[in-house]
Amino acid sequence: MNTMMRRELARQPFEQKIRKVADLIRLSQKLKAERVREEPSNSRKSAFRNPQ
Amino acid sequence: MSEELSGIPLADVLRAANDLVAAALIEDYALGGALAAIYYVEPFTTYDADIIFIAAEKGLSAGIPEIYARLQEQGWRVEREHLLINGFPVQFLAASGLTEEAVREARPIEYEGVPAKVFRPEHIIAIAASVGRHKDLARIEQLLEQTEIDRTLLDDILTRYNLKLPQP
Repeated sequence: MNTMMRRELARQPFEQKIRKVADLIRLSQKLKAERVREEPSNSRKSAFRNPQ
Repeated sequence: MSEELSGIPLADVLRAANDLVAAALIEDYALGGALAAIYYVEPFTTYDADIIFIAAEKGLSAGIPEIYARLQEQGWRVEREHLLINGFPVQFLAASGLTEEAVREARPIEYEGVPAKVFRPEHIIAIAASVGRHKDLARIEQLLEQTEIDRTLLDDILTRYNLKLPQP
């Protein structure tokens, strides 16, 4: 993102920016939950590929 | 923050801080930390709110037990070093030195109709320079790039607190 665009975002009303922060938190929570859900299946797959 | 967040209850946080002033549990307060920076720069992810307060009681505890008790009466939960309102963590931090000056000289704002104060960008930069973590240096860069800074005021604060800005 270029400097001009970032300055434009910076000039938005505070209330609007706080709503965007909440969106960013929700997105990060969703990605984290998806990673946690995927991890057990990934570890099963790798155990299958690399049997000890 | 384990539960799904419905929104950042910042107006409730500020209302609660105003209530603490009205109850004389704190002398004054201002929004600091990442949310104060976001007042001036593009939005970025942060997981808590920092309320920096000037204690009404000058003892060692800075009145923190009384502040916690009052907020818990109003339904706030305690989780480690945070107080939680609607699942959103808030830290109440007693001001001293540079942070006390930042509270006293904070900019008055209104958030969703609630009167409050937010640190001036010059104080946010000086505080970030004094802490000096990677994220603080990034915050300084953002503020210098994205908002109007009173360079005379910033230089004065940095000189008085013997601080230096990181070299680019």
